[in-house]
Amino acid sequence: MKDILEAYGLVSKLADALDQESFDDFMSLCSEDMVYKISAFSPEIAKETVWLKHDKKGLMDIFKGLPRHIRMEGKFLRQVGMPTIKETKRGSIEMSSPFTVIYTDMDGKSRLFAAGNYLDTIKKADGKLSLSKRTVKLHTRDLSSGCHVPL
Amino acid sequence: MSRNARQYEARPTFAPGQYVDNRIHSDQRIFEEEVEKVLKKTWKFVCHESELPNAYNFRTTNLAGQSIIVIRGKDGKIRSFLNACPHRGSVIARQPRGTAKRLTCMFHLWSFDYKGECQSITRPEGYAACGLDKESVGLREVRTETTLGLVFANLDDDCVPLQEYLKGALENANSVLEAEPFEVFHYHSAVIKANWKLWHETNVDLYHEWMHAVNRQTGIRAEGYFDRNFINYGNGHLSMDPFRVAYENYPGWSARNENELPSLTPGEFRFIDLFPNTTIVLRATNIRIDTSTPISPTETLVEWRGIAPKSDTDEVREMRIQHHNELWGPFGRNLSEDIIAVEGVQRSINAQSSLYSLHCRDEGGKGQDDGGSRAYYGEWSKYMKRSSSAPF
Repeated sequence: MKDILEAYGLVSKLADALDQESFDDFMSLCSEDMVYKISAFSPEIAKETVWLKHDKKGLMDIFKGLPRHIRMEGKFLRQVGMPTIKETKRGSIEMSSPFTVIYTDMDGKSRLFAAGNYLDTIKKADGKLSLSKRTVKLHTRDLSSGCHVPL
Repeated sequence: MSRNARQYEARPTFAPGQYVDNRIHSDQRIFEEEVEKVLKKTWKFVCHESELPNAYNFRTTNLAGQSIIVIRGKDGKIRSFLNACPHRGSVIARQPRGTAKRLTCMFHLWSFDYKGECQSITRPEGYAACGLDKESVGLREVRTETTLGLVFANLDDDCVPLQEYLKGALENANSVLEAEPFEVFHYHSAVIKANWKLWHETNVDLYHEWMHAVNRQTGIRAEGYFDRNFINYGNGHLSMDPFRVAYENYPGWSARNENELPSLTPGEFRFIDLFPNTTIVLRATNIRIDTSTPISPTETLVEWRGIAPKSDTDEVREMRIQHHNELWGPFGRNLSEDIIAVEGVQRSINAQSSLYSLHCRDEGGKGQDDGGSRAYYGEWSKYMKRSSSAPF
């Protein structure tokens, strides 16, 4: 139970780190073999479509490159709901957490940007939890102008 | 030096065709005319044939504001019809894709086959008095032709055949798409808050590549970038000489020098802009097709597809997906920037802060010449029978 609560705490910290764009903090919560994927089912072609997939180094490259790009102004707020634990094994927890991302523009208007589920594998090693694998399964398929930062 | 209101609002002194009156991107009357004179009269890419792999498979999409069903028949031929029941107008196919030996309207259960012929009318005896019969209530068929696996439709029954319309504009894709069967591995869409022509402009205007960090590092500084000639096929279709993009110059990216698509060389970049609103971009290892559907003067549905050879191994396919997403996925480095740019332009146009757009760069038809956009708006002017520089 304690591990499960800690795992939920980890997911919340990951969301907060991305909201704050504290990418070093985000990376510190991820294991070295972490794989991050974003996908959506496209009914138009009846396929699960991968929209982003990177290992830890790939994500670090994205984060480092951000200052060079033209990005949406404003703020994103990731809200993570209570997870459903899919499986627990010695040393890892697999869970699914519903999430929404709210976008607030420079005029102060907020709107729903995306909704979906985080399918996470959390590993415990040396008393510390870290994100080992994440698949962001999006329900939202129209992301308007898209986003340079993973959800 | 800065200008006062009178100076700013004055018509540019450049020659007609070298600037655009931005009201063509916001005026409702112009938009309605475009639907009638351009969008209903031109061939538009609607889907890839792989989206209809088997008999009776259908897709629904939008053509000039009208919902259409694109269906592969038992005879293998792909046809399109207005997605509206001739009885009372109910939408027949409500899903984006499916399989149906009979297209049955949910409202009164009239049914139609893949040739658009009415197959059954519920309680037909009720129409004996007025003489209505199945033969007289078929679906409205839409001209449909396929080339290189690309399915095009045209609402104009009297339009020229597709190949005549294209004028050879697909030559840069022929050797690639003819080599082996392709399939769609990526599809996503978004409604952007900008006029459909502004979106297409991002595909014909190479000068805007300065905005993209990726293009600055991998394209603009590459050998031969400014030596490329624009190719104007006529009918508003454009392309450019290919060149090699140095993808490896962008941190974390690899050179596209393995598993290139058939007949493409390492890092090779080609593009084809089809009038009025479809672009095909070939970047060594994958192909993107984007096409737009105007919703209003200031809103456009854009669809992005990635296609790749069916023969790909899982490993090669994963590489192509990665390469596609690096630039054009919803989390790609470039796509978001293009949308942010055109939406910003539209905001200025809507507020009447930007009355004219300048298309007067002249580099002798090479590099970042505005010849592409001038040709595009020139074609628009022909269809609209009004100049894009002075539409009123």
